[in-house]
Amino acid sequence: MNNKVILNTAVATAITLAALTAPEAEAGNKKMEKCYGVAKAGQNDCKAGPGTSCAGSSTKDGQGDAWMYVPKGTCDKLVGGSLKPKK
Amino acid sequence: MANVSLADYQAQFYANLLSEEVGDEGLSFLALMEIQFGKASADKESRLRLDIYRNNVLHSLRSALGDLYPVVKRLIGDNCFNLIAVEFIREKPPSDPALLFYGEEFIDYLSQHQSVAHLNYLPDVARLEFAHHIAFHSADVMPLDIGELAGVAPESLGELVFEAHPSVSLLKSPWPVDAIWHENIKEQPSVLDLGTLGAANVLVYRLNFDIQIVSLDENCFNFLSQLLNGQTINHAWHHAMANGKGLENSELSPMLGYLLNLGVFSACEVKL
Repeated sequence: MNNKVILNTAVATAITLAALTAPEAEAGNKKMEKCYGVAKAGQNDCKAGPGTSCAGSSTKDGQGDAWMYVPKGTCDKLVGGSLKPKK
Repeated sequence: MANVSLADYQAQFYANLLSEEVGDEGLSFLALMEIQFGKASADKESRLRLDIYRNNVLHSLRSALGDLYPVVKRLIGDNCFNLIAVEFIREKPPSDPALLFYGEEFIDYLSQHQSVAHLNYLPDVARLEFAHHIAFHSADVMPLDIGELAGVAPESLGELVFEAHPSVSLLKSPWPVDAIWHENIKEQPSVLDLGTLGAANVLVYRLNFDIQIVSLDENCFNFLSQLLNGQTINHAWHHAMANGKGLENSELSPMLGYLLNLGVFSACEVKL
């Protein structure tokens, strides 16, 4: 066997290995939801209430009217997370 | 009444936005405002307002740098960090309207600063934090579906090239910056022995919503850097073999299998 064949075989084995051990194929169906009250200060995705306009403008951790995108279904599981703006 | 253009106002306003004291430009800006709006109390009140504005600008930029480099901040302490940050902001104010892109030059600034020169590892820790920041904000792209590779003709597999996920960066350091970073994001960091931990070959990227900081061995790091540079598997492997230490052909399968699973590639094609 020449070097090239050895290499191609090794790559094929690698792909098989990767496919076998790949984590559950859930990516692709991921839906996003806006989650309020969990963004770290300055890391909100957009709109943090009166006087602010857009991304990065929330001033406190977990500001109730600032949201960020999280994978669907995880918002309720986050401490302080809410699907609606909080006062 | 003086005929002053908007550009003049702005230039005078900007000139003293970040300076230590309100200088001549700031004072003549205030005088112009007074002429324009003719308020008797304008002098004192506008001066106060200008000071508030100046403080807000400096404070928000300093906070942004602190958020970008939390580990550096922790390592040198809030006071030291804030002092260096303010010096940096005055010397190199943002040139892009998006705060997101501000702060990369802070790494070089830090590496040349006398007060922290004895902390040789500090600039590389900052590099790691900047890579983390970039990965967090980079475009959303789905990682390569391994199933796609099944369609590639077996004899062409060695000629595959990959496209890097936009969040990926590689960082090589003589210091154990990965260990330093991991330890210092903990609430109670313990003392690390820099002498025994050794060099770091770090991969930083984002998988879905989580930033991954992965320490690779040197051979794997070299192989991956070649692949991320757009080299074929064939070329990348030969390069890794030629430059590596104790690397054997039998390691290609497990190493490539591991890399394919990380999700650092977003697409692939056979290079003709």
